Amino acid sequence: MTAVALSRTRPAPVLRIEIRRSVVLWAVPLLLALFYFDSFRTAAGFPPVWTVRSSVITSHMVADFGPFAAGLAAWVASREGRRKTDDLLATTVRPAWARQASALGATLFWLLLTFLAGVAAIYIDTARQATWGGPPLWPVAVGIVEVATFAVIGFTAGALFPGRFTAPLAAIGTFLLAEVGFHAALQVVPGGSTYALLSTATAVPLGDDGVFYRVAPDLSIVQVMFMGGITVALLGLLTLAPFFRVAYRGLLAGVNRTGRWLCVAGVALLALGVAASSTAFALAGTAQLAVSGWAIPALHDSASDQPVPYTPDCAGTSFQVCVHPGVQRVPWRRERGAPAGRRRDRGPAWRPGPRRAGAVGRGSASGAGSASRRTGAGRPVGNAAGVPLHERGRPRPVLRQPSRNGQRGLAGGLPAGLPDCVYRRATAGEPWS
Amino acid sequence: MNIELYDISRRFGRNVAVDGVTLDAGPGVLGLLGPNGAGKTSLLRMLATILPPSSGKLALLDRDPAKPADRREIRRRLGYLPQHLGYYPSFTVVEFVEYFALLKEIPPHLVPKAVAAAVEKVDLGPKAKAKLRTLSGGMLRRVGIAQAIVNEPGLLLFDEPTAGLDPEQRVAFRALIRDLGQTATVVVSTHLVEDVGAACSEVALMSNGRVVFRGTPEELTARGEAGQGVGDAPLERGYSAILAAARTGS
Repeated sequence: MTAVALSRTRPAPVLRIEIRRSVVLWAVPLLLALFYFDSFRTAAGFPPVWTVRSSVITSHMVADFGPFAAGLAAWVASREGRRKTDDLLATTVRPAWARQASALGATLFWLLLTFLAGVAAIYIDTARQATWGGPPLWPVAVGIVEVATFAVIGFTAGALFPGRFTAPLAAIGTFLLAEVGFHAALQVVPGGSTYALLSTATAVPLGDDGVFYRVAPDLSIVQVMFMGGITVALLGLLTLAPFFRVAYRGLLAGVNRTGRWLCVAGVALLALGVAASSTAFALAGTAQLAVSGWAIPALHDSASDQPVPYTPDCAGTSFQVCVHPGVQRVPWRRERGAPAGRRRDRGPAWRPGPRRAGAVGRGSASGAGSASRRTGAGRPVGNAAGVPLHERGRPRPVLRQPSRNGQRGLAGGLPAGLPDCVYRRATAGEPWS
Repeated sequence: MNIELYDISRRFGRNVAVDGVTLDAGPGVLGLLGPNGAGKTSLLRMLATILPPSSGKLALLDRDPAKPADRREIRRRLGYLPQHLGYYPSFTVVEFVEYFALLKEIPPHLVPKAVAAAVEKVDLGPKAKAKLRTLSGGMLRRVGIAQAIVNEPGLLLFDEPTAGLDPEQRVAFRALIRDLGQTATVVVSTHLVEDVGAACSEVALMSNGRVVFRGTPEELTARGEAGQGVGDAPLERGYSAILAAARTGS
């Protein structure tokens, strides 16, 4: 009967159709507009320091993309239930998990493509202005994994509870989840519970990270592991969905319905994901402050704690002020006496440096080393500790205290957005507790 | 035999939708008639490997659908048009049929030709690039028929296939299923007895989950002339006579 020869096929053609007709395409202009007006403009207002600009990826871009990713993925996943195609699709050869993989793949394709286009825009803009360093990749990895996690959370919700309200609920739910994570992250203090570091809201590096010291990837690794674990576990749950639907009829009925190998794969994915997330959770609890940022002892490479060699830039002024070449183009603020509120509104310009900046320059003219070593121990100079965590133009509280008794320093000043208490303490030269 | 059912039952909680049906069918067109709630759709869903039977034996295309490997092979050669066709509005006609062709695992290099042939058979060539959201109900029904026949199936199951089709399209569809019935087993579940008379070589009439009549359309007509059937057409009279007899238990 079958004149058309039948055989196994690769999933690519189905994926191609899904990509071509993905609902995410309709949302791409909205995502790009959101990116431009929130993330890009925020990044453009920051000093052209790679680590500072790249912090927008995890602080703003993920917040912009996450709820949309969850909502759109839930809408795609609930399609079969909403459109009543489940009966029709159940008679096809390809199993449900393969169909869902194609739909999820197409959703992730457009979401991540848009996300990476945004990252590229920020990095290209930064590359045109930056005078030091290169594009950090860990924030990109964390951002990709988090957007994918949001999408998989939404997709799982849509697949398990198909309905027209699932998508908006998934979007709102993930937005609230991100906010809870962010507010939990605000409570993180050294010496206290550090589990909230798993929220990427805390992944914003110090203003001088990557300038005097390399950025330790410890926290990013843990965040990728945690989010990746959640993603893998949810994929396992999706694989086992047919099992759960008939589980009330007994274990054997569930296995028969799902297929033995699919059950094994689902359980393995679930176990792997839970193990990865649990490990990351445990590792986050051991986080400690180090000179290169939050360090996870089990993952930390002590080489990260070594200062990055540099030659100070002493040119261009009548009064010799030597600065790190990474902050050559940082716009110096003149009006130190401006009200605090006004200072915040002005965005991320850098505050004037301490008066001892000149001494720093002379001391370091001979070559490599950290500014802190040359300014005298025990007294903070410049940006000793602050983490400017911006949330849509509002300053975030500092999550970190200075390491090594405030011996870190950026011969230039503090980034704007720091709370006044931090600013006053830093500029007054008070020792950090 | 492409369909072999032996004492098949399907229960939903306390409700018995299909009650001990025994049926077999080879190549040809089998009309499945019956009032609402007779169990036609449940029987069709079991034949489509969507629902497992609660009890009884079922073999399709000489394979056992209870076994996953056999079920896959059955589905490769199965075409199904549900009563309520779900579709994705943003897909074009060709994309929708192509999507199902790929899900039925037709080799990709054969898909364009198979899709074109299926779309032409249902006379949707001029609308091939149209989005599904722009089509009328009758056209959507034809898209559903196209996806069902795209893999040139050995077993075709149509649930109310002519609902929404205009008279001209219904005539064309009857010709199509007669043509398909030359080589495949086509099961048509319908309320429209004229469809059965025009296209089916055999008829099974269901009532309360049971098959109460099995024969040719001519035999059904004869029952009407002999019994107490009511209706405008001879087939309708046969239909109502058998149902009346089934209800009284005679």
